[in-house]
Amino acid sequence: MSDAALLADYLAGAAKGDRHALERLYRATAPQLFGLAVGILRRRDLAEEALQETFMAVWRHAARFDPQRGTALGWMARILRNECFDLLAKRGRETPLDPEFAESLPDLTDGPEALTQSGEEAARLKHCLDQLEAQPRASLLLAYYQGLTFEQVAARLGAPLGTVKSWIRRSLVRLKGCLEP
Amino acid sequence: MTEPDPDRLDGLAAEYVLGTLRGPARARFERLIESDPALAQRVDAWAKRLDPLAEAAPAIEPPARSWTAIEQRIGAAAAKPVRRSLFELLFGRPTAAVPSLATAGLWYCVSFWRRVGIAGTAIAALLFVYLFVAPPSAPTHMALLADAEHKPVLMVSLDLHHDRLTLDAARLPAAEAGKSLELWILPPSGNPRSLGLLANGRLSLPLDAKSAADLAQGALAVSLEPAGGSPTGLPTGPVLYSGPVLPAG
Repeated sequence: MSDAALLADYLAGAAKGDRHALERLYRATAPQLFGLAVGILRRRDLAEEALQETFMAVWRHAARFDPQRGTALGWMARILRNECFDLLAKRGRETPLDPEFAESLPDLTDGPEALTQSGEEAARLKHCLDQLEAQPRASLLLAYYQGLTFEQVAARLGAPLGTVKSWIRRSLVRLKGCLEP
Repeated sequence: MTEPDPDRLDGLAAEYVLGTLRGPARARFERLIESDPALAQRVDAWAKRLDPLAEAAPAIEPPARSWTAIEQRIGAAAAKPVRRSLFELLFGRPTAAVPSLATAGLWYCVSFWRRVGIAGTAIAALLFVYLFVAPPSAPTHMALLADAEHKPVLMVSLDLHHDRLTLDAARLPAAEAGKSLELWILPPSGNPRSLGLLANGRLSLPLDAKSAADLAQGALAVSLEPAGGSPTGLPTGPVLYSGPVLPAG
């Protein structure tokens, strides 16, 4: 069984109320999801909160996962990023407790190399990201991996807000065109 | 009103998935998704396009306490109580080296006797309330709700002939400020169902037929919730007290 099928299987178990299935799902996906949360929230304590809330939601709504509509990890990552956005909305983007820790996080704004190792769809997305100009690509990836708003991306890259908006919107349209089979 | 431009809609779906759509606009868009299957399909398509990015995030090991916390939060809600008679619950012989309420009767529980000064008083008070203040209808079932350390905290009596639940929360430790205590039915299968908040004092509730049937085979629990009760309809906070429903007499 492939990794993706295994995760979908664990989710199906969790949907039936099997706690061991949820634990196996946690062991298999928590580091990845925690890494994603840390990247957006820049704080371990908030990232832990987001991770916990995500698994509570997964436990409650596992039955809603539809393997036809995407991968298990993708579904969980969407729940996690929503939890992160809720936390950011509630608390605002606070200064990291530990600036050194925040600084030590990998910068994925060039298009993460790991995309080349995680299957066909990821490799195609990497190829399409590589087609974009550096600044528009960085804007899009800052929004995804660090959860930045248009304004925050503009501040980070020192570019006008209108420019950043059109960079990101155009990049999304170009990605879609590039990914169409 | 003009038809929304499909390219604009697709752009919004993309920004929603990417995360740049935020604040009230995000909340409004989420409500739109709920009511518009075509829009939900656009969102799904975008999610599928961007999902691989999640796999490329750096893996960072979360602290061990994370799983423990999740397990605790789901544990009590999912626990299937082992059915034991009231006699076994009180006087069952130990089946483990260190007796706890899970493996032995209360009589054999060291932790129980250690706190017997406090708990004894509480039980005496509960029994007093139960014997002299409780309604005249004879209970058909009882549940003794205990805390995490197996200290009995709350006696609930059920009259399943007349579909009524009675308890006295006068001696229940008060919830911390800004929190409420919520009482739940834990059916033998399926999700917990709320019976409402516990106020400080006596509570006598009529039960519907389904609740009565679930209680006869299930358990009761009290969880700590935000003021006014769980916002989700399921326990969200820690389960403070729980116990199986047992036939009385």
